[in-house]
Parts: sequence; structure tokens; C-alpha cells
Amino acid sequence: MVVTLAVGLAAGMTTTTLRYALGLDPIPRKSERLLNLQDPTAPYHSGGMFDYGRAKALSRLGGRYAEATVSGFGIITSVSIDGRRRSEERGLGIRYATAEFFRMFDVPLLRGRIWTVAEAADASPVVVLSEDAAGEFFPHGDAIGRQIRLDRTLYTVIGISGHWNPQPRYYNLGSPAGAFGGGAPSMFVPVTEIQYAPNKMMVQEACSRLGDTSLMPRPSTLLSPGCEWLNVWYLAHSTRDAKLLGRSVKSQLPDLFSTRRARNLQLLNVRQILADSDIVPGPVRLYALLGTAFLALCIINAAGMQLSRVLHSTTQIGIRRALGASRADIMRQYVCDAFLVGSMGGLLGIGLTFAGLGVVRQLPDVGYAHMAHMDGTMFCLMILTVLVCSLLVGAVPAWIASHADPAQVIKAAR
Amino acid sequence: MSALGTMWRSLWRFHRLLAGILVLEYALAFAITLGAAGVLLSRARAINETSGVEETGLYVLQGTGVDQPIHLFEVMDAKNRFEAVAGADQVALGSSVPFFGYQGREMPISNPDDPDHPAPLQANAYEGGIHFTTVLGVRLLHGRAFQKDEIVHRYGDAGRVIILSAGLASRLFHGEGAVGKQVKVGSQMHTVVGVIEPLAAPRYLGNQRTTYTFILPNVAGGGNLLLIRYDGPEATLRSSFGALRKHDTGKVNWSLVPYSAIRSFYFRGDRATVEALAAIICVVLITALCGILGLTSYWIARRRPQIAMRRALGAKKSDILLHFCCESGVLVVLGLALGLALNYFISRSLGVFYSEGGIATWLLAMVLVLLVAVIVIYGSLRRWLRMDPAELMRLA
Repeated sequence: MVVTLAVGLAAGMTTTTLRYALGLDPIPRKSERLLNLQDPTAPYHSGGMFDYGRAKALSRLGGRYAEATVSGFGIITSVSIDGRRRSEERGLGIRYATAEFFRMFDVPLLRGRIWTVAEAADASPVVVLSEDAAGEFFPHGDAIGRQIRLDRTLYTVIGISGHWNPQPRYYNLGSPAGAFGGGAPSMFVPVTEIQYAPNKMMVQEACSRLGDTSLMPRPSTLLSPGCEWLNVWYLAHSTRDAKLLGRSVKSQLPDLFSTRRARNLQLLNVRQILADSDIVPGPVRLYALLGTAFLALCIINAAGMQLSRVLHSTTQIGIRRALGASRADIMRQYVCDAFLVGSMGGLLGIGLTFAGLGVVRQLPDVGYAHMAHMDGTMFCLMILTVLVCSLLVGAVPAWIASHADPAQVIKAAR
Repeated sequence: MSALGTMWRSLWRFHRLLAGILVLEYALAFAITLGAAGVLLSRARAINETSGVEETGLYVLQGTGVDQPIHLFEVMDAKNRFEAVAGADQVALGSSVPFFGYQGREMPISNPDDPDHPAPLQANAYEGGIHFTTVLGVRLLHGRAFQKDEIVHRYGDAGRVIILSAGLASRLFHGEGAVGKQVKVGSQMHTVVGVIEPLAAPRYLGNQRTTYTFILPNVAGGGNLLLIRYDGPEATLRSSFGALRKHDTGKVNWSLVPYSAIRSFYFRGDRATVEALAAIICVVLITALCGILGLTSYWIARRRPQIAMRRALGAKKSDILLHFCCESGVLVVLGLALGLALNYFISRSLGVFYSEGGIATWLLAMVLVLLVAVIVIYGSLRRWLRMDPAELMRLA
């Protein structure tokens, strides 16, 4: 019984914890106010990409309700540090953005600064490196003030950002890397720098509308009308402003887009985007349900075992009842018995659950594996589950035992 | 029918609690096995998915620059080396191959003359050189392969011709001949020069879109692979590969792998899932078996007097076995029905019916649960059937 309960609890709680962890709000304080303009009818979230001119125009629609940022993502495979080229086989992510991006998306700044309005307006070649990239490029000494070359342009490092890789990656769900796992940007560059973007920068959903079928469009085309690779985010000051912003933006869309596209575009907050995206992978949801069903099977198994134990002890029950034990006494005895067994199974199950989550975290090639952690809520739920399991295992057999007729039981006993 | 009715009344009147627990155990075991077997079979199908290429004798060479990205001339140099071994028309540049995992690209493609489908489809693009289709071993169904002057060598240029896979051609032109007609890729018009057999996408997506593929004549798009078709001894190819590695030491890291290794690497996650699901099914069935066996043994042991009485009155062992088989059969059928309803609920709540294997999944899950039931009945009754009626009466 102990092992059955432990295995069932571990299977149920491991799969449910993973399901719960993947569905958590990635930016809880802002998820209702952080909004993105998207076309839900377009495949793979490509309907939220705009060309440079329209993205700039859209960013101005925030008005007094919200601040806005324009951003786009590219991947390069080489940089030059101190005149020496480095080949980055896995690719380096560059996020082109306005300075508001840091504040809106809670990107932490460890050292240095973000670019100023004047620097952005002048398209100054400045870059904020991620902590990991700074440590890799400049292992000795501070990276601030140092220079890196991206193709023909020499950029000065002005800031170092801390770890920032919210999961799920709600700000770029169309990424080929998927919603979970690596893929955080290594550097942040002002969006006005796009005109000096490196040749051979891979850009997702870029210029295929223009007929540029290569994986890496030329930098000059990245600014062209029709080359859609930038998205626009708004952070409303309050949830009320978010609603007003939605109405305001929607009313102005026909001035920027065709009637059909203006009709399809919707301003969605992070929660809505995640809800529409079925962010938790299907297999994880299936495993959570199967794990819960398996837990139920184990509870029924244990209840069956407890029932046969109880029915084996009918003589003892009959004698106790004949000697004056009340039904409540018999009930108490067998519920305590089940609780004891259930608690032992629960304790073993808790250990197995943590071991199971550890195994999930070690799974190779699974982007969400690192998310398999148990928080306080799930721990409380697990304790509650242990108690409920023990009760379910013990209650029915105890009730049957307590309702046995002592005369019949003694008569049947040998 | 009346015997079945009597059995049912007896079950309901005297054993409904134990029978109820057994039905629930069968139901949950069946529901879990059915769900897990559905995913298992769909993953197993993915592992065996047809790529569309002639996999035997196909090798893929990939290089990555050590200090800087690899240049096209380095790839061309490698191409010349392998052409000397395999033959000029047995080596080709290509952007990707089926199940390579990445370096594939989805692009919008449409038939501008089709009023029924004005919105473009998302299809998977391959880019390759002149012998791309020949080296892959993809058979041309209609039209021709690319010609030398159609291949785009300059970065940023777009080609004018295209080869469609049969699935995509059929979808765009409703089964009519596609060769010579125009399609729009992005906003660029291309003339269809050939239609090939179905070719899988670089990434397996598990649905119809994987067969929507096309090939563009472009070797300047970056991320080039060198595809080599060689049916001779692998050692010869490895020898040329060794010479290439030696020549490019410190500049390019080359890797040469047979296509079977690419396929195996791509589906390693699916294989691991299949193994894990098989283990899960085993654990579930063993757990269910232990529970059901324990409970059934106890149930049958309690009915020892009944068995003894029937044996004493002349019932044969086979009669007793048949009686308990029928009783368990009723419970199993009820359990399967309940399990089916549970599985339907699980599938509905996920929005996907996971029993993708169809009848095979049902049969597999049903056979496994019936196997459990047979083991349980045989295991529970074996002891009592071996005893003679007198001994049974004494124990009863």
C-alpha cells in the first residue's frame, strides 16, 4: 500500500507540477497591461510583425494611455572583438529596440546605462550586452566602454544587462526556438541602428512579402515598406487605460492598414496571447491528466487492499463491538490505520516527486525541462493531496468495518 | 441471458463494493493505457515517417568556420574534392534535407490564378543547386530538374523557376498539371519547371503541411550543406573527408554523416518518448495487475464455500472457471466502457483526440487489459481448482 500510494502520488504530482509551472504568468504585475498588436488569424504569430514605417507609426498610437516600444530580433553568427573575429556557431541574438523596452519588459540593467534619446535619434552605434555575452567577449576586465564590431559597424558597450529570459517567451512566440528554453538576446541595440544591421543577419518572418527569399535579407531591405519583422508593444498605465487604448488604437488602424488587415488586428494582453497560444505543450497536458488518472488508480488499489485487510479482521471487529466498542471507535481505528499508511506513502511520494522533477530537468532537448520546479502553492497542494489520499484510502473500508453487525460477524467467525 | 441476469443480480446483491472497485481499476488502467498507447503509436509513426529521399548512400557534409563564418568558396572546394570521388552529378549544394531539424524555411506560396484560394499557403522551402534533386534521389513526376543557367549564385538575387512537391502542386492546382504555370513565392513570380514525389520538410510537424515543400534554385542563401550520393565503400569517402579536414585545419570544422544518422538524431526525442511511454504502460499495468489480483484473490477466497459446494454437486473445473471468467468478463466489459468514457473526457479536455493510432490503439489497449484480466482469473483460481472437492469442503 505504501509503495502504491507513493508511486501514484509521485506520478500525479510530477506531471501536474510541470503542467502548472508551464502555465504560470511570466510577468505577473504587468500581464494585463502589457499589450501587443496581433493578427490572430495569421499563422505562427506572424501577424504581429510590421515594417519599420508602420511600426513607428503604431508606436505613436499609445498616446496618453500607454508607453510603447518597437522591437525586432535577428541572429548573427560572427562578431569581431579587438580586431579578432569570433565565429558563433549557435548564433548570437540581437534585439533591436527602443529604450522603453528595458522598463516595459523588466530587463535588469546591472551596470552602465541604456542609450539616451539623442543617441537613439542619431543612430549612435551603442550596445547593451547581456551579462553572459559580456563575460564571454571580455573575460578580463569590465566590458563597459569596450568596442565590438558587427560586420562593418563598431559598437561601444554602454551597459550590461542581467539575466533576462522570461518563460514562456511571450514577447516572441513565433520564434523557431519555441516558447521555452534558450534564445535570449545577447545584445540590445537601438532600433534606429537597423540601417547598419550586419549583413547575413538572420531575421524571422522578414521580407518574403517583397520576394526576398533568402534567409538573410540585405540590411537595406529591413527598412523597406513591406519588410515586416518588427513588433509593437504597449504598456498601459492601468487596466482601465488598457481598455481605452484598445479602442483608441482600433479606431486608428484603418488609416495605416487595408480594411481587411485593420479588421483582423487586435490588441491583446500577455494573458490573452498565452491563452490563445495553447502555451503548455499538448503532451504535457496529456501526461498531467494521465498522471492524475494513475494517482486515482493507485488510490483505488490502496483502498482495495485496505478493504481486504479490514474484511480479514472481521472477527476482531466483531469481538470489539461485542465488548462495547462503538461504531465511531472502529471507524477511528481504521481511519488512523489508513492515515498512518497514507502518511508513510505520502512521505515516500514527496521524495519521489522531487526525484521525478529532477529527472525531468535533466531531459535533453526539451526546452521547458528547466521549468520543472515546485513552488509553495504546489507543495501545499501536494500535502493536501497526501491527506485526501489517506482519507480516501481509509474512509470506505473503515465505514464498512464500523457498520458490520457484531452478532453476524461473531457467528461467521471461526 | 437468464444466466447472465442471475450473475448480474448476484454481483449486485452480494459483491457490489468489490465489483465496483474492480470495475474502476479496469477503467482507469484502460483509460491510461489507451491515452499512452495513442501517443506511443503516433510517435512511433513519426520515427518511421517517409522522408521522400533515397536514404541509402546519401551523405551530408557540413562545415562551420573556426574564427569566422564559412565562405562559399570553401564549400565549393569541398564539392570539387567529393566530385572527384563520387562523380560530378552525385554532389550538390543544398540548404537542408528532410529531418535535418533546422535551416528550413516556411514561405508563403500561392497560385495567382486560383480564385478559390487567394490567401497564400505556408510551405517549406529548400534551396539547392543543379543536382539537388538527383542527389537526394527524389523522382521527378513531371517536367525537369533545374538547368545550370537557372541557379542563383549571387547573394540577394531571386530565381525565376521552381520545383514543387506533388502534394503542394496538387493543392495549388487542384490536381491539374503544374508544369509551365506560375506560382507566387512572397511577391515574386516563379515558373514551375518540375513536380517531384512527396518530399518531407526539414522539420517534422506531424500533419499535412510537411508534404507542402518546394525547391528554389539558389546556392547563395547561406547555411549550405553538401549532399553526396555515394554507393561505394564508405572508407573511400572517409579518406577524402580526412584529406579535407587536414587541408582546412584551423579554418573549418567539417562533419560528414550518413543520412541515417541525421534521421536517427532528429527522432531521438521521439524514441526516448516511445521508450518512456512503454515503461509507463508497463508500470500502470503492473500496478493495476497487483491491485486487481489481490482483490480478486480475496474475493474468490471468500467464495470458497460456493466453489466447494458446486464441485461437490458435480460441477467440473471448467464449469467453475467458466463461471468466474463470465463474472470477470462482465466486470472487464463495464471497466472498458467506463475507461473509454474517461479517455473521451481526457481527449475532449485537451481538444485533441490522442488515440491517433486508430483501431490499432484500441486493440493494443484492449488486449493488454484483457491479458491482465486473464492472468488475474487464472492466478486467483489456480489454487482452489487444484484441490479436490472434499478438501475444499473441509476448508470452506
